[in-house]
Amino acid sequence: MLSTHHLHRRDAGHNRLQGIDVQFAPGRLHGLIGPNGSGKSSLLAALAGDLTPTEGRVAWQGQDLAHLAPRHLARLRAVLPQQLPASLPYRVSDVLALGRLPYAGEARQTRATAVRAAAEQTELQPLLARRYDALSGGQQARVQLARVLVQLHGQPAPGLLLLDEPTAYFDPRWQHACLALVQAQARAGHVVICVLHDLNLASQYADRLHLMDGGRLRQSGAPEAVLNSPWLDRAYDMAFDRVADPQHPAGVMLRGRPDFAFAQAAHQNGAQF
Amino acid sequence: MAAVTRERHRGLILLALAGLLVCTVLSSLALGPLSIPLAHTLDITASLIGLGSTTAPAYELATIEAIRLPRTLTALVTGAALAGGGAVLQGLTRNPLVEPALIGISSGAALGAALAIVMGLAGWLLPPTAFVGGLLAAVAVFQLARVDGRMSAATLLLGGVAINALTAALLGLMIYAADDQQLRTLTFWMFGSLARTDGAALQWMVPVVLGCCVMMWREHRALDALALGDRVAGHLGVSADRVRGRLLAVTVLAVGVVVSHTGVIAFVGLVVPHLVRLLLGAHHRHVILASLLLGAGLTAAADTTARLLVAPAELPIGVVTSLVGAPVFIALLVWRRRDHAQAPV
Repeated sequence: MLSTHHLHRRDAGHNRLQGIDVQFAPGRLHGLIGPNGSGKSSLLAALAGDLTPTEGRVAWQGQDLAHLAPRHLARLRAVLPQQLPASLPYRVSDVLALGRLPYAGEARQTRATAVRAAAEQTELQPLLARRYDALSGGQQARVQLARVLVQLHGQPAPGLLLLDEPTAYFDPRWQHACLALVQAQARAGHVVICVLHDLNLASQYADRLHLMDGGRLRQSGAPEAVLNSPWLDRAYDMAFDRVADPQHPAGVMLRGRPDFAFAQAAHQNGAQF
Repeated sequence: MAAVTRERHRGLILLALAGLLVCTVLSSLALGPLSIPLAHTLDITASLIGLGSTTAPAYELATIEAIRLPRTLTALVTGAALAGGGAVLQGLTRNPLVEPALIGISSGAALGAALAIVMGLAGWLLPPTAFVGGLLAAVAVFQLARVDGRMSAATLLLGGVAINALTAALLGLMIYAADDQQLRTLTFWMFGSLARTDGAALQWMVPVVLGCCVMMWREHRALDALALGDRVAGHLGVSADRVRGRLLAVTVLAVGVVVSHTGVIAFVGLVVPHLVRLLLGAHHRHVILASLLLGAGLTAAADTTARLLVAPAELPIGVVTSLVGAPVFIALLVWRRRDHAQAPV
């Protein structure tokens, strides 16, 4: 169980996180949603141990995350950042093998098995001998996703998997494949937390949704409860139409209404030219 | 299967580099105004490392023991420190254009040396003054690069540029203040020479640089992780700040120790890691080890060339490394531009 206790983070007078109290149970895919600048990535960074809270704490199985040794933490949690490295002069197979760095001294065979398993899951086998720099953005993102899976490979549950907009670089097929892979990690008993912008994907794959707005956690709950809440429209400052999900009786799909203030203003500005 | 072949290929290249090193060491010991036959050189070298006694003439033994061996050892530690330091700094900053001079060590040492020469202390006091100069400049770069208690690759580069500019200005002042003789001494110091190191200095230089080289190599995994960025390295259990602190300290110590004795020797720290990456790929396990071997070998070869080209006089070694290093570097740049995606990894 990963939990935060009264988490605050202030930077130069700006509250990035305000009093976040939330629990992330293992075995579930948790989606963090909210508009740009709402604090999703800050919360994820705090959960990863990258961002030190000004107040409050993050606890893993009751123990303060900040007190865990870096090597121990690296065997416990894998993180997929939003941005890809600008340049990486390695072969794809070597980038994947970097995921085993926390396991110094393990048998070469174990490392090879972890790399092979992740490459199969992400369909990277044909690219393993290619240079990472020579791949497309989407392929590079797949390599990074696979590296994270390599890091968590063989780790007894519950481990922790944190992903910041993992679908951002992907085509529709890989957006679904990525979230299915991530969901499988949750089913294996890990705590999986994922920042998502696509609310329909969030609705389809997440077990719990957490809505952020202005550095605060506005709502946590089952996807249909959060997506049906008026807080959602308020947080995004736009109106959504809710449609029944043909695949899931309890599910909900969202369509944005083009009549919110920004669209009106854009339309008026456009009319002037 | 491909991975096994690649690994074997790398092993062969490393072996070839080690062989090249042995050849340059032997030629450095054998060649000079007095040419010593290879059989005698091998015989004398074996006797010097305790493997039997030599039948070679006494004057050949004396030449190697008193003159050429200290010089060759100086070349080896200098090349290893500069190339190893270059490989480490390029890895730390994720910038292939960085060399040890960038973090102020060389310019600081030059300023320290200039101060000693202008103040008339240019005897045994010159190396310690140069070392302190290099150390202070490097510490100033680190202090300048530290923002909110953390040092990033970008701030390190900017700090280096700033401090190098300042030391260059102060060096200009020293040159202005120097008389003709001091100017000549300073100019020659700045071109680099391996002739200034004596046996007493080598007794501690060799273990210090060797220790530093071992510590550089031990961090190869952390350097690979840093290629992914500081934050991701942290996710893999590697503290970028700690690794950077350790490796900068080791690099400053190794390069500071050699530069304070040899003066400025350009291009070894820049070109050698580049060449090695072309041969072996970017893994620091290979890059650091091969840079140490190739740096040591090339510096010994450059010194032999410097001694032979205008014998019985000798060229400053820094001139030789620049004359060879600059065209090689230009060729590497052109090659990379033309064929970037196919570069071996």
